Amino acid sequence: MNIRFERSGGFAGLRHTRSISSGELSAEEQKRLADLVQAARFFELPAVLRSSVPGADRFQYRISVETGQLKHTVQVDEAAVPHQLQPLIAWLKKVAQ
Amino acid sequence: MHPSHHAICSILPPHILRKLAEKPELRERALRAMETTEGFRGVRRALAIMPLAAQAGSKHRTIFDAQNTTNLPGTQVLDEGAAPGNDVAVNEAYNYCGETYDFYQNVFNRNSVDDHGLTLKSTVHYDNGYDNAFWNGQQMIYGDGDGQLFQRFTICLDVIGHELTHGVTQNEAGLVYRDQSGALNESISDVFGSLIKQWVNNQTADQADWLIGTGLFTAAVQGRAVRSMAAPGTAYNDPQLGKDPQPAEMSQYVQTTDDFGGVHINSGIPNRAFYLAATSIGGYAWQKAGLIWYRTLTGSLSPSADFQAMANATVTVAGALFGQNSNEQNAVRDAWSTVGVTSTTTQFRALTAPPRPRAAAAAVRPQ
Repeated sequence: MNIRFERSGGFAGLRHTRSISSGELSAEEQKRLADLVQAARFFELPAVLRSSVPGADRFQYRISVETGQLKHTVQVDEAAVPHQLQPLIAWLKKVAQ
Repeated sequence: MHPSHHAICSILPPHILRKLAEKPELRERALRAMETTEGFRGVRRALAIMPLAAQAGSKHRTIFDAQNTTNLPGTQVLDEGAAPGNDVAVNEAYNYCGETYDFYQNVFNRNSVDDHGLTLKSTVHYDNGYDNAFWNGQQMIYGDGDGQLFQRFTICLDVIGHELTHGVTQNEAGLVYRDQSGALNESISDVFGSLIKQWVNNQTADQADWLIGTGLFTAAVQGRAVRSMAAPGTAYNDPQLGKDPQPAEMSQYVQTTDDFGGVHINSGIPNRAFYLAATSIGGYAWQKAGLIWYRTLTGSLSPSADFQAMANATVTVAGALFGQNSNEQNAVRDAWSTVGVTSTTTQFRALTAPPRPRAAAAAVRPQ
């Protein structure tokens, strides 16, 4: 599994990108990642998730996941992250640091 | 309904109507006018402001502590008038928020973000090592920073002024937070964030540094600040962060789907236009250039305004305030032209709001 995680926006408007190949992870972390992608029902998420509430200086994420024949990219506003996607983003933020 | 009364009210801009609506004897008439005035965005909003009416000039700050969670607003730790504690982030959020309130009150006679004394809520210690500050539509939120690249986000007066100004914009032009209108939204927050810093430091336009977020980066970062209004694209150049990506003119406008269409990138263009206008006019930037931008924000600007619309509107407002072809209007027109936006003012002239009668306070900085 290959994952690309991008964060843009925020007050400073900085863009951070991190690509992760599951091959570089421990067996335990590989399983953790696969579980998080499955729990997020990632491949069922719409390509764009926008927040409808007003606000400014929030982050915006773009997550691409490729595994086997499946490939999907989701762009999601920080204020619009669905509940089931939050653990995957928390994991990606931790790994991307 | 009395047609004569209605006719008088309906030519007034929304903020004047809101003021009238605070007076019991005029409230019903003003509400009727607001409901039917083309420039006012919806009856729901007209009704929603009524319970928010507060005493003029009432400053009320409340600071909350999220205790490194993302729960908002968190635990209340400081309320208006209470003695400060030992938490520097709490005290900075309280004090800088107060200076921002004072700036709007003294310079533009504006009572809080909604001009109706709305309580200013701020939450500090949001999340863990969170590298951001934001406005969530209702309040300001500040992270502690990761300590490697960023300090705590309460450390800069202009950052707090920037966030609070997002609330002002939301209550006025309501600029859509995407693409050019989003970049204008960002720029207006930088403009007034910088003006607040200049006002507190009693600096003229040529004395100001025109930098946003000086001191927010740690010493490990190679950069002066997060953004430069005078020279967009030159604020930092760091091995880890890369180079400041802001363009300084329209020919360098960045098309992207990141960051809501590059709102923090392309804001460099209108930021520089303001800097050029303010330094060309000279003196204290909040007195003339700031007043022109403020009147534009609170007057005719539409939520979907682009850079062209902003240029047209500011040139028109400058003409209304200081005279057609005045030095001030020419400075604003030339500033936009320098960044690659040529104003065409005639089509916007009819939409310009009349000057606010109470804005005479803007001419003098109280000391």
